[in-house]
Amino acid sequence: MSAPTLPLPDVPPSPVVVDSERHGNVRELVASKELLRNLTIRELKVRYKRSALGFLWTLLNPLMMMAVFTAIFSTVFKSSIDRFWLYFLTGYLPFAFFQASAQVATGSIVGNANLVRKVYFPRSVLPLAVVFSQLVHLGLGLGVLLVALSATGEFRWVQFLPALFLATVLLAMFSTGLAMLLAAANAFVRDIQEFTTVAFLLWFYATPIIYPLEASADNPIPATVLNAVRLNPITQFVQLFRSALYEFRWPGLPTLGAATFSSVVMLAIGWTVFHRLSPRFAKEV
Amino acid sequence: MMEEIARPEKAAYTGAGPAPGTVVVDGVWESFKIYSERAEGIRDRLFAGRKNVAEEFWALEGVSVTLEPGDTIALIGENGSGKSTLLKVIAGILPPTRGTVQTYGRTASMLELGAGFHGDLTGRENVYLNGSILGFSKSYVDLVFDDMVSFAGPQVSEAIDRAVRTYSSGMYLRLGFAVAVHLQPDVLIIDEVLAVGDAMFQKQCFDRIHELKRNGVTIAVVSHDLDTLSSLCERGLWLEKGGVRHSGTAIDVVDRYRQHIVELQGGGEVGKWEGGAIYGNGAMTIDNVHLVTDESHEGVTTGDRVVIQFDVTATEPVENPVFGMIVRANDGTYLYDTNTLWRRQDTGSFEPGDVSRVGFAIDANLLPGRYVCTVAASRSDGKQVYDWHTDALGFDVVGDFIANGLVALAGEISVVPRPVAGR
Repeated sequence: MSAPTLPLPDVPPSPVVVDSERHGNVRELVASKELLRNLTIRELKVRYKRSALGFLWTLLNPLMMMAVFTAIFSTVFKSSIDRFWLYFLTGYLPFAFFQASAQVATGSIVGNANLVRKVYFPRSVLPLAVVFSQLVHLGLGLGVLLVALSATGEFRWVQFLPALFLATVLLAMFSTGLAMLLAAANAFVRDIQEFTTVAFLLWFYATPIIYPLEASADNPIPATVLNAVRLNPITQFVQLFRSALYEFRWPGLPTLGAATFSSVVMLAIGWTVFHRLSPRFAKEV
Repeated sequence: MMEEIARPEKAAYTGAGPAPGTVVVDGVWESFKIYSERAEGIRDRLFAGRKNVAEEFWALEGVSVTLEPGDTIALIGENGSGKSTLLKVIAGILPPTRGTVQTYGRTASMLELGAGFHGDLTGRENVYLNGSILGFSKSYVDLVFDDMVSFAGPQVSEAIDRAVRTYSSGMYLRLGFAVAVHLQPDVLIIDEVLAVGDAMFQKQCFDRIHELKRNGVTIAVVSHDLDTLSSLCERGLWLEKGGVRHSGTAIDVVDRYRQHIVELQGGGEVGKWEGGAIYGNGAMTIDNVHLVTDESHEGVTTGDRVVIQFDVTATEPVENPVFGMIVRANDGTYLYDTNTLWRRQDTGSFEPGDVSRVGFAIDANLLPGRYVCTVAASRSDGKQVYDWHTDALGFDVVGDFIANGLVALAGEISVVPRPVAGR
């Protein structure tokens, strides 16, 4: 019996050279796009695999949060915000994306220790897959929001779709940067994982999701606190989403500039730190 | 599409630089920090002070080795000698602390079967995920998927669309192995994963690895099964405390290493006897190794039934010992290796002083030339050698010249005219 000859794999024409220099090689990351896609799909599938409603949770979760907050703020706190449900969702959806990306990615290196210790692949695909899977959730959430808007007879959002797209890209860049930074740091200092839970709770209240950013007689938040909230980079991203889907106007240049600046800086820091530390992951996890 | 994906032989590689499958390890040092109480939190890192935090341990101390495409190398050494670290360095998992390593082409590491399998995903989903982790595209996995699943056995192929969490550990390993050996890399790295499943599946695995070897895949293996290593590998590298103690042919390195182990265990005589090493702990001794030939003529002729015979004497009580025999060509080429363990043949109990005569009858389907036999007795699990005589017996095969090579595969040659259209 002669064994059938195997087809040879579709090896790239130039040899893949493995050496110590390759950590942080962008070309290698691009070559791993299929792995990135598969890991993203894994994140999505595994999350809801054993729940009855499965993927519906992606939509139910923000809707339920919205229902709770709207109920509280229209009866208990009597918020002066017009169309609170829309105000809430346009802040909550981007924030929830940011929080989930960073928090899940924090454990992505340590949680895949088995792989990191046993196989070489560009390590950055692990936090990136988390961000991409959360991006899918964000897309679905925004989709539902747009359907709901249309149902109320509101169609002005259509012309602001490019602004919405830009806001998503910038937020994704910022989230990727922080995700990579936390994932790498957590491989060395496990406290990061515990710390993020509290940090993001604080971050949630430091972002104008359930209160208005403008100081006014109706706003219970003091002006000094609101000025501090403006320094929170996520505030700028939320403002971008709000201008497109709540105020229906183009974003102001200062907001856009600030958001672009912080997303580029965060991505650069995260990328650099991650690849400075990634050669040592296999020994640390 | 098949034509596009299937590529010519690796020998046809004409690109710049070394061909895929080349590995150059140059003066590699690898250090690990050993934390006495593994410090993982901020408090430990900040307050433990400079001293006591970590002790530096060098797992590799200046190892250099170059592998050409198609080389098969066995890494041998005691636990903690740096074998597994060297494999990880070659695989690119651990960048060297000092020195350089360059691996050309695609590397697949079998350091743990099914690493990266996710319990909640189905077998099929895991196969594709695992493929892409090892760097293979969906289109390539598509090509080998059916082979892979049938290789893993009927149990696995029935369950391929169920979550692997429901698999038995045997099924899990089979699928993991099937994935690893069906994705044909340029460099394959194997660490102690060869002993999977039952004897049948193990044989299947070896056939597959031999096939990869024939296809020109560079293979580096770590295993404690020395017989496997010497049959699978051409080259051997013996590591001791992170350095290279000896480098040479696998057979040579394995023999030296075996001798070293016996010296360490402090048992048995170590000496030279008819050109080969003798060692063992002496619970049984072998003597009077001889060949019983066909009585109708002198010497051994191609195709003769001959018996390799030896006497074993027990010096301690032993239960069901394993007797084995290896035939090699004079240049060391490994031809035939069998023993009572593999044949599932019971050998009974021995009391001190008991003597038995062991005979291995073989059909000497060997072409004319010189051949050597190694004989051995070992513990019932084959893991401890009682007495091992390397190349204890040499014999010459004579016969009419009919072919070149080593073995007489015999058979006839037929030449039959075929009708030709138009004539």
